Amino acid sequence: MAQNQHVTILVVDDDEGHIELVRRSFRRTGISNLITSVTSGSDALDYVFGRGAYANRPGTSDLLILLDIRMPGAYDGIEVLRQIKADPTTKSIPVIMLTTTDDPREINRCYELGCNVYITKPVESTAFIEAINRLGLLISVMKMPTVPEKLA
Amino acid sequence: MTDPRGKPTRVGARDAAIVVVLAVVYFGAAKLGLSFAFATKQVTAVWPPTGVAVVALFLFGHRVWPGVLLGAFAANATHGESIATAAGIAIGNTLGPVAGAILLRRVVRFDRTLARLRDVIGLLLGALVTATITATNGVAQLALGGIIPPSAYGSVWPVWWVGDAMGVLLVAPILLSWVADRSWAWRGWRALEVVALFAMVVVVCHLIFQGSPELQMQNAVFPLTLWCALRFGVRETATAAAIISGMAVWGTAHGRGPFATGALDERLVLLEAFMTIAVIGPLSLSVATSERRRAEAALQRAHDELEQRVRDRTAALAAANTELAAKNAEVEAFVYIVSHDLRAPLVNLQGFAKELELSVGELSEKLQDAPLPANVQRDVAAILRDGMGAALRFITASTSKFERLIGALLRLSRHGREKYLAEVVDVGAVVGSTLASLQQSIAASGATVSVTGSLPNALGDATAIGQVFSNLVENALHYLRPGTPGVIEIGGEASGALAQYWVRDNGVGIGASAQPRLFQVFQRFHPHMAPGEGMGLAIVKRVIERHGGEVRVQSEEGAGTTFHVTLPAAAGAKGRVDGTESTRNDPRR
Repeated sequence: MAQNQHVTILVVDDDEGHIELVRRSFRRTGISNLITSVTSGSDALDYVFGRGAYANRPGTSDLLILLDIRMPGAYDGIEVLRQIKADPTTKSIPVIMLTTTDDPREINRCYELGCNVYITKPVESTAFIEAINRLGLLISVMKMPTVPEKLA
Repeated sequence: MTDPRGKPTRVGARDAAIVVVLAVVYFGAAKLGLSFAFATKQVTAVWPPTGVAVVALFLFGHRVWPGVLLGAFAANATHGESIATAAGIAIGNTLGPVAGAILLRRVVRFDRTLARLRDVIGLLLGALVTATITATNGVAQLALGGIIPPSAYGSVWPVWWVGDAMGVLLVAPILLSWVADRSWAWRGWRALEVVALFAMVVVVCHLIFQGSPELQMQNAVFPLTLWCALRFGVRETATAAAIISGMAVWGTAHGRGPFATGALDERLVLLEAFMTIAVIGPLSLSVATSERRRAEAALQRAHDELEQRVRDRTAALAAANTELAAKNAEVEAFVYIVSHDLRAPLVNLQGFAKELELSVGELSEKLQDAPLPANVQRDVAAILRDGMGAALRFITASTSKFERLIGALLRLSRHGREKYLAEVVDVGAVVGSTLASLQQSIAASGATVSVTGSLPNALGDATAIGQVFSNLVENALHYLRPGTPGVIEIGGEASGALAQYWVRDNGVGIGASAQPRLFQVFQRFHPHMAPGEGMGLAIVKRVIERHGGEVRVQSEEGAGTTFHVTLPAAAGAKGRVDGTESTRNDPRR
């Protein structure tokens, strides 16, 4: 992922186990990007828009978001996706939906809202790890857009 | 209405009062009747007091008879009769009405509102009985008292008899119907109509019965009485009849009107005949009309009630349906959410089990190079391999199974939620592609799968119907009898509005005891024979029932199973799309 080394990967999932699994898989695939995580939709929005607890976060130029759909609280993954894609300053951030839901309606909705990739978290044996590994490969070859230095 | 059986302590005083009032009224009515007399002084065309007596005795019970007796005695005594004759007539005039009232009460079971035709006939009967007694006695008293010659008995009796009978027939309906209904219920045009009607009755009667005897116009009253009977109730009709009779008698008694010519007997007979027709005819018609009106009203009420009940039931059913639909949606949503939320921890279980497995592998590798005594090396390797490795395999197998069960639940819930198309489905083609996609499993099982004849088209959702056949064929493949070459046959035929299909196998079959549970979720009858979650037939049932069809099973253990499926036939039906969205997932199972 040499060309995308500067990209920070934000994992948004209310299940810390999932975050840890993602982290480990990425490491095993050789992705050495900064991986940061939040466990709620509102934290994700704060992070992305540099508000609240993240008002003074170091300006990360590039961001890639792994977003879970079903999260408790006021902002679920769909709403987080909607807000990110509705804001011109953040709409070019690649968002990968990574959820347990394989309901076609929800998948369609995510694509309509502008998510870039949709991945169903598989449980079967090594499938999840494999999916994350493939995702790692995908990220490593992805052409990352250049996001303005100062957000919002 | 006054209750004839008042409180016991007040009965005496009340009865005494009734007796006195009755005597006075009787007396007054008698004086009125005598003014109509035109044969002898004692014999009149109409004798109203007899009607008063019958009504009073009927309403208040026969214990008020002293009122009748007193009134009758006073009326006759003040009319120039000897005390003995007056007393004799009074006894008969009391006995007659008492007998008439008893007859009405006991035999006729007379309804005081004159609600039924039998009440009119009963009244007629009561009048005849009453008049027979009063006339037989009264005329005899006249003869005994020397007022008429005994030879005149035969000619005076009918006059007395008719007068008393008319008295009952005229007075009783008026009194009874006005007592039963005292309301002045006419409003607007109807009030105008009743006023006009009675005005016309009076004018017409005046013209007829005060006119020249040559003017035989008495039949002109009948249109009026018909009008009254058809448009108004018994009360108005009885009143009109009384007015007509009264004016007829009055005119005749004063030598005017159509009945004022000819011999006395002849006049009387004609007058009485006229009055009988004028009273009984309209009264019967009126009662029959009210009877019909009441029947109509009752029918209407029954009809309304029924309609209301139907409306209530329909509403209740609709409510129940809505509730059921809501419950159903709730259950579906619940299954859906639970399935997804249950999946999240499973991802962890499976993922970290894999992590552990990797770690165990790394540990094993590291162990080989570790400077440890051989026995420790061996023990640790055994722990890693047999202890941790085996445990991890169980965890992995269990989570995989858990995942499959959740996935199955999710599929079933999806089959309940997704919208179906309603289009003409070439079931032959659908089955063809289903079999093609099952090619590998079919080859592996060594079974022969054939389609008999051509399958009829159905109306429904091609993907869902393909799923049905896929599940049924897979089911058959899974449960073939070991050692017996599998034969699976698919057939179908159009049958009216339905298309029928069957999938027949020669497999292990399903025992009769298991068949009722066959289409329930998570039911597996030969779990050792095939993998699966026991969801296939539940999905078949759900899909078929959502199409409005039916699925049933015919099976014998050890001989084979036939699944029969019906779907709406597509014969002549144009394909149409039901619902606005098609959110089908791929038909993978």
